[in-house]
Amino acid sequence: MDDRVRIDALARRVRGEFPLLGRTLEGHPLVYLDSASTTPKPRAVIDAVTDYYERCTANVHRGVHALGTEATQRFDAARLEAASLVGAAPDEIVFVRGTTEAINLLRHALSLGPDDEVVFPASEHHANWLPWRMNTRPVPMPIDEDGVPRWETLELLLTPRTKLVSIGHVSNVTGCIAPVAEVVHAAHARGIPVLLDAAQSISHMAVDVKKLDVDFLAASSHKAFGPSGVGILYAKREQLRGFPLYQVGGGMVALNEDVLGPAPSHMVPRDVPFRFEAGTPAIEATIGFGAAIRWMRALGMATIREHDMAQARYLVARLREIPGVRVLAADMPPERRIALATFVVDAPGMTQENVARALGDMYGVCVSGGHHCAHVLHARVHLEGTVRASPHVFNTTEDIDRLVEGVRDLCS
Amino acid sequence: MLAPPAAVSAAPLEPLASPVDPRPDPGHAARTVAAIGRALRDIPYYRARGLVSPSPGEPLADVLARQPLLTKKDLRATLPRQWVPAGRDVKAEILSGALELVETSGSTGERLRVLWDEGWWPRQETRAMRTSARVAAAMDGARGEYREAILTTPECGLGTCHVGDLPYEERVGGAHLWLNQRVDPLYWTEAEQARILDEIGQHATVGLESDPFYLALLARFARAAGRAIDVRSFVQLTYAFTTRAYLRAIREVFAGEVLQLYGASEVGVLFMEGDDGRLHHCPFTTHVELLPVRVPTPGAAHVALVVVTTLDRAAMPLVRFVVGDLVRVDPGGPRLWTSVPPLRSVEGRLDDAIARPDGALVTAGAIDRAIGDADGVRFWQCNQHAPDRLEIDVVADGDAPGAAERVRARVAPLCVGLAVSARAVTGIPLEPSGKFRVSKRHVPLDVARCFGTGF
Repeated sequence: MDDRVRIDALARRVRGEFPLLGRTLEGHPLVYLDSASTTPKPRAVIDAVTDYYERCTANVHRGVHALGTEATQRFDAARLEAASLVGAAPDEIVFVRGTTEAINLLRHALSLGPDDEVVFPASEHHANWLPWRMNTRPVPMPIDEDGVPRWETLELLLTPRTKLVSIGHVSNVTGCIAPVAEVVHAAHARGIPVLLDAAQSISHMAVDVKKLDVDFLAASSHKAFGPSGVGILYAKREQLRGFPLYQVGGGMVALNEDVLGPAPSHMVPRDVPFRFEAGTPAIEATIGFGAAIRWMRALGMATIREHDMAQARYLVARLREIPGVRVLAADMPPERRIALATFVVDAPGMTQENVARALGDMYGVCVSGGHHCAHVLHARVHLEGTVRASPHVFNTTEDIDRLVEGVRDLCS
Repeated sequence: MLAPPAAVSAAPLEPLASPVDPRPDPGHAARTVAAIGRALRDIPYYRARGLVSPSPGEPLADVLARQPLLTKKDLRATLPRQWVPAGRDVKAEILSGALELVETSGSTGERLRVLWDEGWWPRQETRAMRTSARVAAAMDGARGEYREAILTTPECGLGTCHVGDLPYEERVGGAHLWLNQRVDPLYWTEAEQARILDEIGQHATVGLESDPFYLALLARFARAAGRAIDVRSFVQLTYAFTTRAYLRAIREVFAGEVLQLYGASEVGVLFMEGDDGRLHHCPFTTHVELLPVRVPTPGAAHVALVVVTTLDRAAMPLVRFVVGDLVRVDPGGPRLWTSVPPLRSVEGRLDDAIARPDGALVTAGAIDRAIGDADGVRFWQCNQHAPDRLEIDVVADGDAPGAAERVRARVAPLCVGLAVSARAVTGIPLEPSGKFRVSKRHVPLDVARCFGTGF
């Protein structure tokens, strides 16, 4: 099937479910190409959140009344949806605020010291970089001139001091997919655990932690059609049970008998994963996340990925046609990337951030511009900024054509 | 179906004569008519409705036909004061223990408080259990002193009273041990499951009463750990629907008797599995009507709705109470104790039955039989969110997507007129009550169309 036909068939089927796409921007129909930042939300997610507000606003795991019961049921179901999405058991999923908190929780749990090393590609997002420079030695893996990690250097970087290998499943800048199996094999051969930052992948492809054999996985809801404010940390059961407590307070404790006098045995935390979830959680966001996962899985992760690869081919090919545009990792085949293109526009007198703004103001096209939370990558490839277009399942080829038209105009 | 520890300790089990030999109760109909007469005369709820009491010698069928069906909704609005005979002080009797106020474990729309006369639950339960010769023998010491363990939701089903773990000694009441201390068995740790297995042995358990879902989970852990379920005589499954997959898992680690017991907190034990594999009506405490469905149910013949009249309760006697469960009747089967025919199976709750566009109900039991021994399937749940759609979640070993597709292919022929889809999941949420439902209908059902008058 022709890519154009494949892309449009699915996109036209689902885009009516996204109320956001019905609005205009400066008189132009909205073209949303910024899903790598955050995805629009389908009606099913919006309804799940508003239904919670309208029908069962209540705290979870506490209320004895009917509303509390209903809220708890919806909240608990979301954990099982999240577990199923990544092929984990429910007790291996900790709800956190997002990918960033998941990684910080893991950093805390691993109790790394100043001589411990964490290896990660130099192309990583700050969320998977900065935590590893806090009281730990970061060991960035070299990247090439397009910002793609030089995976062949990994083994050289692993030492007896390496305590973790942490990789983005999909780069938020280049869209390239990491060779997870090879990384896991190399790390595990040395007894080193692997963290997979799946923020950019879980909405694009099937991710199965058991098949990939990663030790940890972090992801956010808001990049996967769900609300912001919630994400997951997956950890293998045996690892998670060994984690020290993270935040403490209500909801994570089974028994507090400090009235008997201070003693460690007087505070008994709940089992995993609840012991890592102190305080009232982001209830409505979590319920919405559950609805988002149901929505994606009903569509089919394989179907989404097929669409994604066709879109990647189309997007990169169309951008490459424009004189004065350089697409990072343009030669990476669609099987090894998602539908995301980061590019540099040779537009006289304009920064890449200006280009991104102009695309919105003049053409109604929403893209990202700047460093995309990856300062080091941009510095190493000697770019002061880039423009990133990240379509998703609801985008038609017409949307991409509009982007191309705008970029072409700005270049000329 | 035991009450939580507090209730039992207040009213220890009484030794009762065992009606082990099949002797039909010749006075069953007369006893039922008399119980209805007492309830209509003494209980304010019925008196307020001006119901006509039975005439002397009036046939049971005529008396029942005149009485309206009673639902949980009716009870919820009027408890407790309208349900004890006039002149009794409910508050004082609850304080003294003469009355027990018990909360059922149903979910939001189902949860209910019920009143039991002091010691009523264990009395009727013991009597019912003893209708099984094998269980009666075990209770009489055939396998050593009778000791029982219970595996189901903890006393507090919502987790609001979670205050750490209790040691073994504090979970024992008489000969009974309450095993579970977690609100959701999906999150049982290995240590927790090992403790439960250890305690079953430590307690010298002769009979284990269990929710089948909980025991299936434990059985899977036991098999993986190379352990057995150390129960000396029998396992009695109750509280929830038992699937073939659960039974398979349980039988892999337990070679003794596995029996079904069917009842409800509101009415007591109704049916107990006999040696012939059928569930037989337990005598003396209830009369059961089995209202047949109007439209044939695919995959299940002789399906009926259970309606119960209690016979031996001073407080909260129920007349024609709709328990809400569907059963498969064996109309030609032997009626051992009463005129009520035996059951081939409990088919799940009416709320669990899937409604086809042609009006037919597809019971949880029919779906389970259709799924049969599908390879690798551990747990499943059907959800009908729309009149024309059925979604199935499947937890399976190995090729989970393949197992989900096999389940879909087997269930679809039963569900004509519905688009059936299935997906692999790694877990299925329990109800807030801690019970697991294999099937949930989220669309309303015209009950009167299914079962005729009275609704």
